[in-house]
Amino acid sequence: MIEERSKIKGIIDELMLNALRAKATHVRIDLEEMDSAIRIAVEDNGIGMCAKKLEQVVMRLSSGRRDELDAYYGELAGESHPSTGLRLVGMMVDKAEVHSEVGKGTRVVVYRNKR
Amino acid sequence: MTRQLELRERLTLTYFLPVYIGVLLLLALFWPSNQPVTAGLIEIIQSPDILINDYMVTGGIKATFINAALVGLAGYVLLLVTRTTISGPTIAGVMTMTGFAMFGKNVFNIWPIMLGVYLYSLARKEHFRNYVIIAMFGTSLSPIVSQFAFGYGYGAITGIGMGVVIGFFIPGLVKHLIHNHQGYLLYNIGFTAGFVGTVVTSQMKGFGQQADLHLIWATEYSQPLAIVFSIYFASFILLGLILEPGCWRKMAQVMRYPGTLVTDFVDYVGLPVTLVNMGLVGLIGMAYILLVGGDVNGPTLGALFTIAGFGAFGKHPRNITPVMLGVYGGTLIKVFHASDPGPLLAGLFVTGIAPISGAFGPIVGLIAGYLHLSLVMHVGWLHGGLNLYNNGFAGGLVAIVIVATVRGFRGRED
Repeated sequence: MIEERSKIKGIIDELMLNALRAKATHVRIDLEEMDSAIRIAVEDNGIGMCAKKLEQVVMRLSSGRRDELDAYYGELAGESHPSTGLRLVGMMVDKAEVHSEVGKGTRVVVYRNKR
Repeated sequence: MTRQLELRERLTLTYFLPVYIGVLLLLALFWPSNQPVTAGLIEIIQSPDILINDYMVTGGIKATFINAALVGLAGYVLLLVTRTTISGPTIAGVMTMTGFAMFGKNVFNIWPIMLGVYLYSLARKEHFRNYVIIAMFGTSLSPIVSQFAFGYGYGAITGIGMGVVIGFFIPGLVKHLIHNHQGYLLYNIGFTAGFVGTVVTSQMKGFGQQADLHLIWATEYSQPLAIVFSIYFASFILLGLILEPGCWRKMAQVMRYPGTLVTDFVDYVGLPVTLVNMGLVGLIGMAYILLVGGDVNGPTLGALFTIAGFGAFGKHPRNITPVMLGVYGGTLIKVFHASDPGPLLAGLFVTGIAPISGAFGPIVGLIAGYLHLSLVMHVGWLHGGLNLYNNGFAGGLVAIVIVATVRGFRGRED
């Protein structure tokens, strides 16, 4: 479980870095343990995303969890290069929802199923 | 139409690895040579395997190709059995296993390491699939099995036992050490294996056992191998273009990625252009060997297979070229010759730190390559050649220094 905690922290770090890159001045993080999954929500008041960018981000976060990458390369979550950070999160979560409005901010919710 | 393309891509993704590995079996079958295959395989298995042991000399070219094919297929079957997704990292894993089975990995010495990793997954109560990548790359320490069994002369059981113990401890170590270079080194297990090899070698020296580096290096096959394997890597490009004729346009997109871990090109840009990229980087490696006047043999082919494999997992022409030129530049002003075995392999395997060039630019890449050359020529004695990914060990040290220095000036690249 110690390792699971570090993975969750890595996912939060990666999403928070993303919010800070979007020039957010207020970031709200909500972590909830559900029956079958961990739910992580990160909401910011940054610059938000246009429809095209939003589509790219959704695609990156929705690639599907890949156990063989999660167990090893998931260690890099929170430390990885900006070009791969969100994709790394995508490989570590089972479901993702993203809502964003230009000038208003972004809300990312990801679910990591318990194994 | 799109669905058909997807089906073709899926089928190609599933079957191209065994087909390309199978070509090695055909080469073994039809290569004009009278060397006995069975005796050659026995020679390969019973050799100590510390760096550099070119199986083309030790067991003959036919036995080398058969060994490479069997080891590569073992990696592929492992993916199928564990139902692991075939993607960039696993393609790199299978290709690397295949390549290194021309100079150090064989059908005997890979299994104990993989068994050790499997036992680790059992101890952790996790599926072996979670550790299959570590098991594949962890075979970089296979020479420990052979060295204990045949080099130190403790027998096969002791060698196997050592391999299992080492394999058991690798997963924890790789997960810890990956933080040091933060994904700027593609050969993280090579970096880890360098430390493990150093610990093992130093302990054995304490008991008066030496594992000195040696050099077994084929020179007589260069010309035919250069022709055959240039066609081999070019066929990757052709296959990609057949799957999607316009996919070459996506190369610009491929080359925008810095290549840091985890850059799975199959997932990011699709299989066709990934195959084109794999072929291109393989051919760039071949061109480097030929331009510096080096030999094409087991070790250098192993390097080319590794480069091509990582063409699916982070390497592309833009990020590998500066670090390769950095090594070559170093050979012009240092005591090393670009065509000598160590510097030649450094010029090829330096591409493990290609993400440094991809992320920080070609000048930093050149400097990293220049530093890498001397380091790789220096660190081999630490692990006594027990770590086949010697360049991964040196590359990790370079990556730590460069990443820390650049970030010290620039901050994180946010």
